[in-house]
Amino acid sequence: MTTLTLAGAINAGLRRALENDPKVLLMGEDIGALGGVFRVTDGLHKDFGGERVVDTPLAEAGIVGTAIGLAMRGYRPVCEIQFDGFIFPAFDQITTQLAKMHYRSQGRITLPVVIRVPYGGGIGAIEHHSESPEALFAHTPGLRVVTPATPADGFAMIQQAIASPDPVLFFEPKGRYWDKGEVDLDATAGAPEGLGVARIARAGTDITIAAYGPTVATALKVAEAAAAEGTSIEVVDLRSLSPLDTATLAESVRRTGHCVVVHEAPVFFGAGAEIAARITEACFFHLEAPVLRVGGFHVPYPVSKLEHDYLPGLDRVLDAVDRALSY
Amino acid sequence: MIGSHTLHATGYAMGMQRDGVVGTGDPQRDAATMVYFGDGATSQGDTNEALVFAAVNNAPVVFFCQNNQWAISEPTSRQSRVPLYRRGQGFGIPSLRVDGNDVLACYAVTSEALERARSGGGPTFIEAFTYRMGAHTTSDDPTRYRSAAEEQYWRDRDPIDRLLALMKAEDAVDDAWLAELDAEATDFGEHIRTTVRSFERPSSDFMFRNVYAGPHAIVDDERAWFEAYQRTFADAPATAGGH
Repeated sequence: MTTLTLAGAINAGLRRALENDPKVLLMGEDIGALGGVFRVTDGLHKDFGGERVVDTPLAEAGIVGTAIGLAMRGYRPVCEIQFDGFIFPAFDQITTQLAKMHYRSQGRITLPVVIRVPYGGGIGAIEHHSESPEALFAHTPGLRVVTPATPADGFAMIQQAIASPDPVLFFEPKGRYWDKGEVDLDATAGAPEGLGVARIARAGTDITIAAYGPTVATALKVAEAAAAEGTSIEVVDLRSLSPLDTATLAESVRRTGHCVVVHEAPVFFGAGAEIAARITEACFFHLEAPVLRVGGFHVPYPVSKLEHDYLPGLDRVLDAVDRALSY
Repeated sequence: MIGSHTLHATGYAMGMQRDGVVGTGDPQRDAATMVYFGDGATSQGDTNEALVFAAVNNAPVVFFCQNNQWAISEPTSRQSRVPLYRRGQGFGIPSLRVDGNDVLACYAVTSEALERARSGGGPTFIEAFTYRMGAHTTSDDPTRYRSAAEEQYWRDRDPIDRLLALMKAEDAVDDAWLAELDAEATDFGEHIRTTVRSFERPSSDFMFRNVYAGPHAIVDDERAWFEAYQRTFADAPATAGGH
């Protein structure tokens, strides 16, 4: 086992993928000599060269559009979109081309493109730099949408994503880039199908918190705080929004009878709505309270001095846990 | 994103055309739009679409590209294999490159381009060739991708130093005036820093304001919920939110 940050673990996973498959190439803005603005590609340009770790022009539609062409030619491009809010120039290429090509060609064309997106808030950034647009992509048929919460998952999941025959939106919780964890660098990454499988991050009996990406660590803190007051919280790290591992989550909720979903994105029309609907359908006779959602408000990501009012922190999640349990 | 506003500027200029304030023959009345952007922005689709719209509409807009040679870590050679002003030519827009560290030259070409736009002559693309002296942000590290010698080369061509040398040679300024200017600049910098540091945390209500111009039931509900939630804390202000 090696102790790595999430950023370091994803870097190690990218390095492993570059070593194992000569068709893998990385492309994005400032990912070369600088190593990316978060240094997730640090050292890769030096070791694999500019043909495989490509500093692209400053044009997101161009990055994804040319990645589609490279994939058609047999490459496995891993694109970096520098910040969540920068993805929208590429939205057309992602939603109308990347997501649909396999369907359009009736399976004749596969596009194994990974789009890495540092997302989420909590780093005191200005607008365009703290957003959580995952639901827009989970709503788009043809894309897989995943997000690691730990360094171990960062290392394994980026390799699974690259091995996937389908396009994968790989959302990296940038506020957790510097969180450390144990990573087994000798482990094989597992089949790409494993990408869609949720994990129980902490076992509990009274209530289930469904979280993903940046909110998994928050949910674990909530569980720790609640345990001190005698409430046993189970934390499910969804890992993937598309597909969504409803079975693992429903199995948990049938045991606990309560469910709170936590994400940073606005609650209104967010991923939590889909999760709540599915859990209600799957667990209706086991639920002792409605599935509650905690997340961002229906406002643009606010100025940094207010971001901790906007983000679902310890207190707001505990409040939802209390409301669910006292329903 | 980067470069998006070049389209806004072009649309604004198209509004000026419709408002009849371009090419009226009255220089006091004629108007035009200026838009500033960097070398990196020239790669974006939006910027290229702005050049298309400005050209075909003969819009009164001046595109001022401040080519400081670095888009964070990427040199302009990652954006273009021709000087950027030639991009404008490809769209049929009169285009030129100017020494971006020559203040008077920049003023002259900008004045000429604005005069053309105001009088109905259409858009101009100016590439001002300069250099980004510092880092892109506090998290940037230029030592990873460029040399100190290169930075020194450009430091020796600082536009403010050059203008100052000219003004002194022309006896346009004296030491007393310069000392006064220096003190004024120091005070202004201090004022900015003090003011920014003294900004208080806005009330949480600020987050919910101005999302929409009119009432919106979801935002109103969420604001009401959050204010009630905040009041459950012992140290909550008496009225969360303010006006």
